[in-house]
Amino acid sequence: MTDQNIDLLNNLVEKLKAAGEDTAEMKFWQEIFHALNPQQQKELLEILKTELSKLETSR
Amino acid sequence: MRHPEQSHSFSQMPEAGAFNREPKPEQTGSPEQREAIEEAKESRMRLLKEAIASRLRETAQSPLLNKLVNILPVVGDVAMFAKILRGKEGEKTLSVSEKTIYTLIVTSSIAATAMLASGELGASAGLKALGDALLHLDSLPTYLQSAAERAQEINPRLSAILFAAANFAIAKKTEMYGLKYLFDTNLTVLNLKDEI
Repeated sequence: MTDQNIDLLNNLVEKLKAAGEDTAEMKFWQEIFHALNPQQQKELLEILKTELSKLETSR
Repeated sequence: MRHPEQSHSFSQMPEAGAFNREPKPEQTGSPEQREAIEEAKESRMRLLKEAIASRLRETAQSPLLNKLVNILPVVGDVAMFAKILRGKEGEKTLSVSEKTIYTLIVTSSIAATAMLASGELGASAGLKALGDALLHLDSLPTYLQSAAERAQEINPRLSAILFAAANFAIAKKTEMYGLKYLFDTNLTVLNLKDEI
């Protein structure tokens, strides 16, 4: 887990919350990020990035 | 790692179905936005189930633990429960937010039961303990927190997931009570699974 990944996670979470995502669920993923293995962390970041991209595109 | 809000009680809970439903994110946006949110939530719940299963497999094996790992994808499969609900309650279907809350709580409770009961209870008694925990939503955050504390030394990463799940359960207590009928249904399914 790198600081860069955590910064990316926090950035994505804040943007998704602003776009209407559930605050409690986003907080959950922030709290468990370090408990995921590197592949799972990568997968989570991809899911969040894809969601944000789709939400911004359809805005 | 304690959180002040974890001492909150559910004693002032509204009756099932009596809570005020606020607009859910997937209900307020365009069709494209709703689809994006739904896909992302479903992907995240799959990821959570994989994460919990991999963390559980790190602990010592026992008949109960093996059984709990095996039912993770089944009990967390909200599509199956939606079918059960449709059969029981006509056209009732779950929103993606409801599916997310349900899946996150159930998968975390399975992991909590593995931590609290594994090595001490047989498979049948362990599944009954899980069913009892899911039926008593007011004490579920405490159940998750107790399991997280027990896991802190032997499985710190699973412990972190359980602490976070306890916080989530507290934050979603009103919505959880609105889904109480789902957790009741869950017990029936667990009894069926117990026969396997």
